[in-house]
Formats: sequence, structure tokens, C-alpha cells
Amino acid sequence: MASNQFLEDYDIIRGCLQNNAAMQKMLYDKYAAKMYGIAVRYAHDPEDAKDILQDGFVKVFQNLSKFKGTGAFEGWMRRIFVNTAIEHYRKKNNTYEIQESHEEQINYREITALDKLAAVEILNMVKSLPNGYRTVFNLFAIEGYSHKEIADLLNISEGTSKSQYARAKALLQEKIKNHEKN
Amino acid sequence: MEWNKKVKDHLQQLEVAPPDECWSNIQSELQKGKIIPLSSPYAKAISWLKYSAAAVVTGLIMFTFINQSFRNNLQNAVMGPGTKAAIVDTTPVNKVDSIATNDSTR
Repeated sequence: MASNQFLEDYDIIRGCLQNNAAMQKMLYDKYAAKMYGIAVRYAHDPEDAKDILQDGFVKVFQNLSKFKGTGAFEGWMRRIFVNTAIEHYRKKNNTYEIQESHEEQINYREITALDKLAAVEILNMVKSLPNGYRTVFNLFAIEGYSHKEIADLLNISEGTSKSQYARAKALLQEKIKNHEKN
Repeated sequence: MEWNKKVKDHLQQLEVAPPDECWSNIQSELQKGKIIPLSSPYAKAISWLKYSAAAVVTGLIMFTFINQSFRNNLQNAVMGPGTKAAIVDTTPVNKVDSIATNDSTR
């Protein structure tokens, strides 16, 4: 299955490298929804999400020859889209500094509340976070970057990254609790 | 950590259908000709054209320089060194004076 997937990707990539428009469309159709899922998580608004998607795909087509085929193509694309989202964030330069940091205890009830939520509901909650919190939360909790790496990427201190993540998490938990009450 | 994992599981593979106009915008960017994959035949042709143009320009400059010194060398070889200086330093003949001199001798 995995090798079939790779073969298919390989053929599409080869077509794209020859500027074959049908193959470019095929690549877009195959990955657009997944990549838009990433764009929406990072974006400030729908327009921003569209820009991230478009810029990301343009970069993918531009840099296809740099894909060596050593790892998964989807993973390579994901990194391009996350980097594009970070670039958009940097352009807007919206960082919210927080003075206090508090890691809240999470109980079993909150985890089961999370289970009951649909992915789209969680996505909407993440989207409603302030820009700085949302970016740090995405990078740390979803993409798995360390606070040191996030600090370098966003040009903030490691402490700020930690505190923004803690605050983002607290806000999300609050939103989940409110959702459960309603 | 379990909370993080659950959020990650929910969101990491989330798929959202993009707006229809996105592909046409990407396509128009691609058609502008800005985007040429680095290993495409067009990109190779463009880089070869660049190198060829650079070589032609360098060749022309070199030819002009060599040609200039070649002409000088040839001139020196045929007419002897300092020919040019000699021509320039020649005092102009005052034709009026020479005619007058001729008349006075008559």
C-alpha cells in the first residue's frame, strides 16, 4: 500500500516537473484538503488561510525537484505548509506576551469531554485563540516542535513560547468546559 | 500528555475542503511563467542561455581589447615604434607663408 502510494506520488511529481498541468491539478486535488486543514489551523481568518494554501502550493511546485524521495512526500509538503504559515505569522508580527505562566492540572473529566468533541469543533476553538497563542500551540502540540525550536522560528524567548503554550492550553480547556456546559 | 495526544489526534490529519477559487489562483500564478521547476527542460534551457549570453559578452569584450592591442602592435611593426607620435608632432606647414616666400624669391 505504502509503495503504491509512493509510486503514484512519484508519477505525479515526475509529471509536475515536466510542467504537465494535468499532473499539477492531480497533486493539488490529492493534497489540498489536508494542506488546507493545516492552513486553517494557523490562519487568522479565511483569507489568510487561502493565502497560506496558495503560497504553499506555489512553493511546492517551485521546489519539487528538491524532494529527494527519502521520506514521505506528504511529510515534506506538510513542512512547507507549516513554514509558509509561520512566514505569514511573522509578516503580521502579532505576538502576545504573557507575564504569568500557569500549567493547569487536567483531570479525567476534561479528557473525556475532549473525546466527545468533533475535530471541527476543536478546530474552531483553536482558531478562536489569539494569533500568538494559536501559532505556538499548533507548533508545540500538533507539529511536535520543541520550545527552543519555536523560540528560534518565531524570534521569541523560550520562556515566552512556554507561557504562550500554557495560556493557549488553559484557554482551550476553558472553551471545552463551556461547550460541555452548554 | 494524554490531553495533548487527543488534541493532536483530532487535528493533525484534519481535512478541510478549500474554496474553489484557490486552484485557479494557483494556476494563474503557475501560468505567469514565474514558476519553473528547477529541473525542467525550460529551466535548463534558460540557464544555458544565461551562460551563453555571458560567454558572448565576455568574448566581445576580450576581442575588442585584443583587437585594439593587435592593431597597435601591427602598426608599430609596419611603421616602426613612435609612428603615431611622429605624425601628431609634425609641425603644420603654413601654406600662405610658403607662397609668400616663393613670391618674394621671384
